[in-house]
Amino acid sequence: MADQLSKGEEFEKKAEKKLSGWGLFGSKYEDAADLFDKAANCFKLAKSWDKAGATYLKLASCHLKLESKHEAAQAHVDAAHSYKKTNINESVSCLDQAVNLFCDIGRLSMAARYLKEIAELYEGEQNIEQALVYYEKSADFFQNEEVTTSANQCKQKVAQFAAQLEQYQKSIEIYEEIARQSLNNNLLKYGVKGHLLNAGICQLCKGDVIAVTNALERYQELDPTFSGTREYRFLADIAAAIDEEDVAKFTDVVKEFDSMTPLDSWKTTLLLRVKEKLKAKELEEDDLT
Amino acid sequence: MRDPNLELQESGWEELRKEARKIEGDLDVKLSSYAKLGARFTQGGSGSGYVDSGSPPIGSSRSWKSMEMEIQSLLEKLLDINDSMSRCAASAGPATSVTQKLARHRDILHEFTQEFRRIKGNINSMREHAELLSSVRDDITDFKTSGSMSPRMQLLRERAAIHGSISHIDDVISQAQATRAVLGSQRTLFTDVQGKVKVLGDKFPMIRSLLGSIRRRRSRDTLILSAVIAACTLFLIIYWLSK
Repeated sequence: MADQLSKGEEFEKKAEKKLSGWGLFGSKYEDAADLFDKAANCFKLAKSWDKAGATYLKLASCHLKLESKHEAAQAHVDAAHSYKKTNINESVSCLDQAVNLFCDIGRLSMAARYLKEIAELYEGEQNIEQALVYYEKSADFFQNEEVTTSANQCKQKVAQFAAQLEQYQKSIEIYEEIARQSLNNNLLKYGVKGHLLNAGICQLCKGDVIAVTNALERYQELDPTFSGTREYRFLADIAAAIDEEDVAKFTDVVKEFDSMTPLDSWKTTLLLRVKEKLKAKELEEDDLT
Repeated sequence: MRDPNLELQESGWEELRKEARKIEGDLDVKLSSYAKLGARFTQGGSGSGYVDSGSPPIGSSRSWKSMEMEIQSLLEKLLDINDSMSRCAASAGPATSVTQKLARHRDILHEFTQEFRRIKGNINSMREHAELLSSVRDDITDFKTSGSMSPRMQLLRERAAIHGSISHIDDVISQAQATRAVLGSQRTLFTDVQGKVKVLGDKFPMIRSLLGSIRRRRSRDTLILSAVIAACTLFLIIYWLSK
């Protein structure tokens, strides 16, 4: 590791000398780029992630001088991967620059992939707002390139985070659209009730019983088999419990459903919000009485 | 003059490192008890429906929150100490063992942060789950469902298992579709490469003529240079003889 570190620093000094000198024969940027690449490799072997990232950024500058945007974008991606271990903000900014360069040269599928990577970084950092923004951009780019599977995966993430941020209408629209697309695909149509259940739970969070009833009717028209499923009965029973303002009935319905199909943490969080709202309403009624 | 400064840096570094190791030990112990507390909270949550509905959740919640805040403050303190060690190492000068130890401490802090975040997420999920499903009529409901709806419950449980299988199949199909998309993009890339190679082959005659032209120009330059050198030499000889 010590040898690799000193070797990397030596290569970096040579590259800086190349840049500062006056190149009589050939291009000084090409030679400096080659030396920077070797230096960054040595730093990575020495596990000096910050130095590797900084060196890759210099390499990207050299490639930009040479008008090689693809190589510059790739250098930014390498810098981001190095910074990922030490500095998340720097990593995100590097990937952002890489995405801009890929857009300039028309490689939208690669731009979409790195936008998704940025979103995953923010998700790991528990920054849901930024993760939502970048997942949305990524879904748009995948859709432009007709990569429907990846676009739908990103859209489901967008819907999930939108519901957590209480943007229920956006979440509902996304889930319904994914359900509609899945109906046309013989392989995916058996998962439609899952998407419709998620959309229904978001409708419940909005707190409008009439809207829930209308949505359930619309879902029956979308998928005739949905009315016979337990998900439909679950949503209908919860809507009835909310209409009657009966917390005990609500709890019974949720408990019965959970005993069959354990609810994941996302559904648990949203249903807990519905229950809290229902409890507050019931307390108001009791106070009035 | 340098020796006192170096000694001061060395002692500061060692003191900071000792404190960092102490906090790391404390964090390890507290994270273990935090995880056990999470497991106990789950059992307490399930037990509260049957035995006692009041005090165990509140007690567990209080100790859980205080433990969480303790761990959070310890992590922040360790982060500050790592930053101080970073500054000490930077001012002291390049030393490989110091850099390695610093990287090791940073990795440990990262690991602890990730583990704390994961356990916290788990405990939050469990607590929300318990809160959603708890009610004052738990025992009545349990008695009613366990007594009278046995065959229907079995059928529903079986259907839920089938639905779970369908979800797993959907996941596998999604992976297969993603793999197919990647293979498609690879094929497109290879087609592009083939096209580029063909274009390069078409350009080969032009490259060959270009190289020939370069070679001829270079030989012409050589001849011109030789002629100039010969002329200068001849001029020098004539000047010397005439003088």
